[in-house]
Amino acid sequence: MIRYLGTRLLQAFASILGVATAVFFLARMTGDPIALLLPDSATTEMRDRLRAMLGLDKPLWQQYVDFLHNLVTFDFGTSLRTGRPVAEMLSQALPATAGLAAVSLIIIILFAIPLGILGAMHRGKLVDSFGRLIALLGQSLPSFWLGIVLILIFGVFLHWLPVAGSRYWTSYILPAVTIGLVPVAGIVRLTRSSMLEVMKADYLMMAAAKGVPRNRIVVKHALRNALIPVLTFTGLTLCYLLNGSVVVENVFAWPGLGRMILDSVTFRDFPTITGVVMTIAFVYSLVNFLVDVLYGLIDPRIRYR
Amino acid sequence: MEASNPVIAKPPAPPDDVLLEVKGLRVHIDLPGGRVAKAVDGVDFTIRRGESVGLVGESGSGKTMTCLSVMRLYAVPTAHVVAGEIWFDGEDLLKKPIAEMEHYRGNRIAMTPQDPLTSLNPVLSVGNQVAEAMTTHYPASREAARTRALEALEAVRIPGAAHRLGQYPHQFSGGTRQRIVAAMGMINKPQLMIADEPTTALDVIMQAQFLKLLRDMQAESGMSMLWVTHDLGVVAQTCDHVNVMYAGRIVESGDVRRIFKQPSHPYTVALMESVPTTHAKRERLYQIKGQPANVFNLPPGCPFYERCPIHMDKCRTAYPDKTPIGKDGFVHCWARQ
Amino acid sequence: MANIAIGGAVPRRKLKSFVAGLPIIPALVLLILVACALFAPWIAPHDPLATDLTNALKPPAFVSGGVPDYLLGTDKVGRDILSRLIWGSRTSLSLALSVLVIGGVVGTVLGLISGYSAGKLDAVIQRISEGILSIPTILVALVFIFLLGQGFLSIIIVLSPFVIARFARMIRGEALALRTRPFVELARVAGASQTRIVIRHLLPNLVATIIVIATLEIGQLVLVEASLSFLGVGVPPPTPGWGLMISEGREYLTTKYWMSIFPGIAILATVMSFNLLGDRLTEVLDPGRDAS
Repeated sequence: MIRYLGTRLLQAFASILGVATAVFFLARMTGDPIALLLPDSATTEMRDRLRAMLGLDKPLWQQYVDFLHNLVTFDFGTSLRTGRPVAEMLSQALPATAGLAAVSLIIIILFAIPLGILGAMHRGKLVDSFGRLIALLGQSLPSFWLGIVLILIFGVFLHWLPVAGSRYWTSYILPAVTIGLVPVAGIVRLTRSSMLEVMKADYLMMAAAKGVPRNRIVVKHALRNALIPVLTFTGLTLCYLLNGSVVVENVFAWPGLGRMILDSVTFRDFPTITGVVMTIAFVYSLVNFLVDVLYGLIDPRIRYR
Repeated sequence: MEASNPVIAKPPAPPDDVLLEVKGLRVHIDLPGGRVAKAVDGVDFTIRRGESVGLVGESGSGKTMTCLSVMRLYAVPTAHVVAGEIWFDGEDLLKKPIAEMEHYRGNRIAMTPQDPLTSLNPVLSVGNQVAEAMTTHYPASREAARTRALEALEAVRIPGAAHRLGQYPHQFSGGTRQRIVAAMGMINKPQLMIADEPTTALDVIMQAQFLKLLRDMQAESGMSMLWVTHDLGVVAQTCDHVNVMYAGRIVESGDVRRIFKQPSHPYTVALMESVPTTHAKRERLYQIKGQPANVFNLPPGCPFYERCPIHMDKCRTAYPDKTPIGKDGFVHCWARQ
Repeated sequence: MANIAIGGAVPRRKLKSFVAGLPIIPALVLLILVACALFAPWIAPHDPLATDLTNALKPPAFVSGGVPDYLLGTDKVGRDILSRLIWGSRTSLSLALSVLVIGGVVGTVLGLISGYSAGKLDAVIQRISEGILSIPTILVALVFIFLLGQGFLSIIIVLSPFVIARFARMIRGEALALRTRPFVELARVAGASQTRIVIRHLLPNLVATIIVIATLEIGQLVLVEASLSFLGVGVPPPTPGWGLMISEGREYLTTKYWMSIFPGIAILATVMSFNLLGDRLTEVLDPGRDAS
């Protein structure tokens, strides 16, 4: 188990390092950042001064080391757009996005997993068709459009829910549902097919032959096995939620990472972009690592390999 | 620690010594398109207390379906019993609601499955699963359950069982896994144990050991055993009485020695011929010509007709009546009337 | 894996059963879509780029205030929404197809190499694919388009790696399973060269899988493209794009909501049809795979 976790941890570090390096070199590759930052009318003297100020006159490897050092100390510099320290902006945006993702995840799990299980157990009946319809919709709906439609229905026509910002607890509902629909689709499908696989298993028959009542067979034997792939998918889902937040935060004016990166991209605010990308890379790696840990705990075959 | 199960009190033994009597069992499987496969097509057999009975046949002969039906379990969701009676210790199991059957399974009638690897839940410890066999029927504290599970594993001669209770199925060898499921079956001292292809997953040496184990356990507890197999070697070593199945029916039944020495039904004869022996001077292995009967499309008359070397016209149109042989046996063959 | 005849492509029987159970509505929708994309200049009632401020913000013809001339209404600079929808299908379809073809071809090749050689090369390709697939698509696309500049080509460059990685993984899995099959062994023993084996024997058996993946991928590509253009990093205006239209309609959401609704319906119908078709294809061509 230790060895398994150790490898995973190493992989996590490697990927974060990889992303950092990629970001570093890509930025340098797209042209002189000084030219991006200053108007064309700037004099050479001004350029040189800015260059020195930003540390861009040092040798490349030195810049790389400085870059990494800054990352480790969470010093992302100052935003070109707002003038505030990027780290401070991140400390506000990250909880907003995380909160939204958490609410989404809860909704998804509470809704999708039972739907998938019931769909497998009552194959072909109403609940199964309903689950499959949801799955189809989740795969086919553009999330931003769904958000807009929900805003129309619940905000504009019915005036039931707030449609922008994160002030009230009800503000979480619409964006969470919007962002959550796509993963719901995936999880419903996965849970259903995983359950169906497991239901064919011999060990269920064996449990029945021992006299274990049906409900207990489902809960104790079938579910534990069926949920293993769903667990990994949940990890992926968290990552999807981060991804989808870019669009959904835009639609609902949610003050999170997604909106931050959109704003910084359109503004060419490089330090912020770096900050957000690295934060997201870190969160991803952390989540994947946690999923691996959980996976090792649940499936003993991994543990004792 | 034998708490008696309050729900089903064991009734007083019926006057004769018959434990299980299956009469006229028919199990059909619904197929898409409205067709029906007659997996079990009229099966009668009896098992006495303490007796070892064999159920022999090829794959598709219906033997697994038959033995599962005794516990009202079905391998296929669209299978159901359409006719028959299953008398166990004085009661017709087919008339019981399913909930009651759960008290019988693993308790009064137990089964060891064919493939012990897939029959054990990979994410639960072996100790957990063995204990479950008991606690399902006789709730007990964790300590008591653990102790009992340990006893069960030691009874099937698994070395070092005390340390292995917390281990998982994939950490055991095939032969040991077979013993584990046997332990699960024996733990509540069932009256009837059904061994479904008990040797398929084992090599020759393990087979011999396992058979000896089961026979010893049977001798000790006095339980009856139903051996379901296609391996005549197993039958020869373990059974008192044998039923030969073909295409969902029992075509011959009788004392094991008689069947081996003087098989009556042409199918049984062919089966005996097919067993390779070291003393027969033969160049080729004997093969029954033709394919096993297709239960999706059974012809009227004797299902063995196509492959039978002594078939007559009568065999094509009418299924042979029961002809008694010896004390307890019978055969369904027009040629033996 | 599909029970497809050795070395053969899709048997006629399967083609027949596919056509027999063809879901009508999705097929019809896709037909309309392709027709719009191909014949836009002739079908569209108006020039999608023609602005006419006197006719701006007109509601659809079936709502009061609407004009039959502009069936689905007009946007804020008076462009006909229906025409922009029709032309928008061109954008979506051409982008999706371009990425699909590039991704599909390169991905299949890589997958074949990976699955068939199954050595170090396989491991490397697999690692990279997994790495790519674990990246959040939109996020990265956003950043890269920012770096590369907006445009058709940028989108293709940015989205292709994801499609390549997905194809590579799926094809590799199938190739890996196929390479141990007897007919491949036979070819190898008979002295056929690696390339020949891959092309003549593996590929025909993979056609089914490729078709299935392609149908499902295309739907997702249309969605991603729409998301990107919604965010403003898709195909630059004034080229009509469905996502862009939704975004443009946002400021009038409370009153003139049709501007955002119709393009969304177009996207939904398109992607859903691709998915339903893909599911049907999966049933027919590759019954082993769970189509749910």
